[in-house]
Amino acid sequence: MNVVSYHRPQGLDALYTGLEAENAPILWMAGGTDVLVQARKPGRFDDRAVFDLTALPSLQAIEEREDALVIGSGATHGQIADSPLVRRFAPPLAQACAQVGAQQLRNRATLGGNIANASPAGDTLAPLAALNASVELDRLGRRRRVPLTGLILAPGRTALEEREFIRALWIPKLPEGARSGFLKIGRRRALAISRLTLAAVLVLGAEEKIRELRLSVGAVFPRPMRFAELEEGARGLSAEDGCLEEIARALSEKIPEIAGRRTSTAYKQPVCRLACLRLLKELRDG
Amino acid sequence: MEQIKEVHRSHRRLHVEDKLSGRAAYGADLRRSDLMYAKGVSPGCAAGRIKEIDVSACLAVPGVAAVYTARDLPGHNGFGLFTDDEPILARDEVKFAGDVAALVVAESRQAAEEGGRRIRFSIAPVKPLLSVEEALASPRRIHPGYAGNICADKRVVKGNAAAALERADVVVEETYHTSWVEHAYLEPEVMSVLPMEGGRLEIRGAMQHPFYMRQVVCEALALPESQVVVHPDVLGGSFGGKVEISGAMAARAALAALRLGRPVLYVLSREESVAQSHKRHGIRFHVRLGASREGTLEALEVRALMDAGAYVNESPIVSWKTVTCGPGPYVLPHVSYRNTAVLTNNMVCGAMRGFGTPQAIFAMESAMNELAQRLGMSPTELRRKNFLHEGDATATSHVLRDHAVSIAGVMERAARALGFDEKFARYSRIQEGPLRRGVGVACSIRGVSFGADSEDTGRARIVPQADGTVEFMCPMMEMGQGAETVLSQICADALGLPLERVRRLQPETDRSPDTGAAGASRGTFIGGNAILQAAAALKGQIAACLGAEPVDFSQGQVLVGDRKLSWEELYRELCARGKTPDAAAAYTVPLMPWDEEHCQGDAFISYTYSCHAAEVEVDTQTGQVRVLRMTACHDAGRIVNPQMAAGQVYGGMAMGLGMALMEEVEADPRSGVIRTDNYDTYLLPTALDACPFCVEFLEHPDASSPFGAKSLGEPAMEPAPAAILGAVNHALGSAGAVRRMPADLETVFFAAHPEWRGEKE
Ligand SMILES: Cc1cc2nc3c(=O)[nH]c(=O)nc-3n(C[C@H](O)[C@H](O)[C@H](O)COP(=O)(O)OP(=O)(O)OC[C@H]3O[C@@H](n4cnc5c(N)ncnc54)[C@H](O)[C@@H]3O)c2cc1C
Repeated sequence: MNVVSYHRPQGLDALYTGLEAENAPILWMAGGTDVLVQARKPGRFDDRAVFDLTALPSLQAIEEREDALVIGSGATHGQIADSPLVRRFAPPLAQACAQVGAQQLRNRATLGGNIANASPAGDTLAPLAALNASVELDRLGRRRRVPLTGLILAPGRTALEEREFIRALWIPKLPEGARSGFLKIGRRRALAISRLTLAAVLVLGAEEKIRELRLSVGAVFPRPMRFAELEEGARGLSAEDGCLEEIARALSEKIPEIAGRRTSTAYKQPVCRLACLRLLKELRDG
Repeated sequence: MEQIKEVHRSHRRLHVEDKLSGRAAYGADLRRSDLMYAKGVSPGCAAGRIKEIDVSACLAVPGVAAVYTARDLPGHNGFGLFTDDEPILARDEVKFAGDVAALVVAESRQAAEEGGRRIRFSIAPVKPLLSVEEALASPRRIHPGYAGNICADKRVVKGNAAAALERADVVVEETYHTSWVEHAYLEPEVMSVLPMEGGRLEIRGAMQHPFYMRQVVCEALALPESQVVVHPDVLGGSFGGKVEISGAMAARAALAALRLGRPVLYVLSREESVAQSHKRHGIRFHVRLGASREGTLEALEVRALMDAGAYVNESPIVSWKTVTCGPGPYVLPHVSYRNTAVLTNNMVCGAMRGFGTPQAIFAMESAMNELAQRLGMSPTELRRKNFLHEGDATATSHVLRDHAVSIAGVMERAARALGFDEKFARYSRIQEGPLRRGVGVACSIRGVSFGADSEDTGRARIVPQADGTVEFMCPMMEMGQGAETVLSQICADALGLPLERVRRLQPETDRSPDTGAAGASRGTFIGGNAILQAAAALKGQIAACLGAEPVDFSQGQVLVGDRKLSWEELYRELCARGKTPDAAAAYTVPLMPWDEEHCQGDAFISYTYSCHAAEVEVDTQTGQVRVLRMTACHDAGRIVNPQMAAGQVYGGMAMGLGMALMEEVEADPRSGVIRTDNYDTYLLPTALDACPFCVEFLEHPDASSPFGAKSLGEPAMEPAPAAILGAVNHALGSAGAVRRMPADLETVFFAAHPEWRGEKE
């Protein structure tokens, strides 16, 4: 891997000074599990200055705030999957991280990397979208927060500005009594690029009426998406089989609508429908 | 007969510590300060005429020392174990996207890579023939010697299958497909060539057949064989893959080493390995299987067609093995089984564990399951009714008399270990919910070693040492299958010595006699028989020298007439009489009656009988298949090393699982370029996809085999995919639900939901 320079700052101040002094375009590197694979293409990062973020302790923390969970972008999938906080307040994310790659990979690969890489098949994107996650960004110390669904624009493309990096993920705690789940369909039981992922949050009120529904599908759309009219439309309906079937069908119909009819649609659309129904029934039945 | 002491014991694998500790030196571990790096460069298109190769920009890259093309080869520009139609360096023509037309040699790997990128090929494109249908219909010949592009067309003709099918009460007629499959050894191909003193060349690297390396190098460089010595490195997996391509790589690297007078290392990247190496054939089988209402098989007709790719490679052997072994271990009075191999501009196909039999067994066993379903019988019931027994004739009309024809017992054991009959009945009832279970069973008959179409000789040499130990040579490559340990166990018992006093010389070509490739399930059988011959020759030397008979090694001592000598005493005495003990001998499989045109006669000297059974759970809402458990039983005669033999079967079942459910080399249908060029897209099963494997052996020592030990390498794998597909279909509720491998997500999902059936991506 040829690059202009390599920096591994030990703290944020060092990071900012390093960035000020560097003229070349920046390549952030966390676990390197996407970067090093991409670097096999000759010349790919020749003009970049690498800033390795793994020595910044503040990026690794997983903390509970009053109404949110804050996960440092450098937390690994393994740390997130094992975190009691994440399991309690954001179960679909913990479940997704537990299924990323295989153990060696989960020991290195980070949440920030998964987001910034912006692959439609990134396993954490659907759960983060369903959890209403927002992303805290940092550009030379200037911070801003954007919703995850606004950060990722297209496959491989984000709204990150030059020299801006992801500091943390903010995930509002799920409301009391919320049920949530995640499922991943891959071609094998480990090291599988997802064919389809699905994350759901369901809050039921009296008489099994849907008080809140959130759904997000991964590996089908160019970016993580939520469907407000679908979710709003479900509010107040009773969560009986027929209604859940209707929701699942409506969700699956978004696939040809948004992604166009591709060869994979023949599989993904019905499977999305069946998987969604299954997950919703599971959540309803607790 | 010699006593069995070391054979039939689970000795620890020799040199296992080296592998476990990471000390074992593989080909790419070579370090020399003066090492140069080679890289083969492909034009990358599937068909075209090479007008010009411009190497000037490549030579300008700092560190690049030389570029060689076909014009630099002093000798024969062709390789192939049986048909040498594949060029070492493509000269005028490109026939597939993996053809190598230039070799860059540089001071560093990076420089070689960079140089390779700067070679400019000007190619006059030719429309590639990328399917069997196109190639059969085209007037263009990919190889001038093969009309209609047919490069192999073997057939078994026994009785009159067509007429018998007319009369049969029930006929199943279906078509089955399999896909291209990668050998997927963890270690990509690697060869190195080191100039030695006196102008000789040393060839090293990963290889299955050291003497073939020497042959290709000597022919390509027009060198006498005495100028080349081959010293294989530790091999990181092969499965039939590191034969031809390794020879071509050795020849290219040798050209560079000879010209530059420097050692040259030539390692393929994974992408190069996938692009250039040969594959397991994808085969289409059109099967007609007829039976009486009671379930007695009457006739089998199979018309198989396979894409050989751009060169002949081992397609004729694959064709032959599928027709001779494909009909399975059943009594079939009428058989017509034909397999035609067609040259195209696709990836080359050749030998891979089984030579086409895993595909053929899948077709046959699927048809058996469909027939059983039609007749309202269970899969085991139908098989029980039709198994071969002693005295029966195979599809090639080989009357089985000289060994235990044990397939019936073999299937019972594998089926019982899985609880097959009970589970088959249980899962055949309506299952609720999206998760459905099923069981499958598949049986095979596999000929030992090459078979009647090839001359088949193994050689060994035994050299007693002054200290009472014995060194032997039988350069059957250790490929992870345990050849070194197993042959040492056989040699120990052949000489009546404990294993510790027998030492196998690592395979090389200067002092060892050529024993052929480690392949075709011949290692134990041919290697072991050659060692027994060498032991007999040693006895002859002793008898002649000491003037007494008989010579017997069975007591840990040497009995000569009525004398008893220790091995040390024997050595001294022989030396004192002017003789240095050193016995070499060959074993050749006896010629058997054989009609090649109709493939009738004694196809093999003996057979291994196998059965695998599988239980799966299918998620009908996603198409995911989980294999829950697999069981196996094999009668491979006496098992030399039970633990290592079981290891072979575990690996075989895992390999079969991949082929059944996920492995598929995909090529762009317009360009012929392989898309699944690394293991992110070419999917192999991981440890999490594996399942509990239960392995049993039914041992009937075989009279023609060394200490009764037949073959296991290919049998260990060949029935597995069919067993899994049988189970998937059972879970889906119909024996014919899936008729293609791999049964991947989409295939299984659409089989479960025909109403949504669409095109697979
Ligand atoms: C064998 C293997 C299996 C895999 N399996 C899966 C899987 O099952 N599911 C899945 O979703 N992914 C999988 N991946 C992809 C990859 O591991 C994940 O995307 C991972 O989360 C990337 O994290 P990383 O820390 O390694 O990122 P890196 O490779 O370090 O970076 C990835 C990208 O993010 C940028 N980046 C990293 N950190 C930041 C930051 N803090 N701010 C801004 N930009 C940043 C980098 O510049 C780069 O563009 C797999 C990869 C491999 C090699």
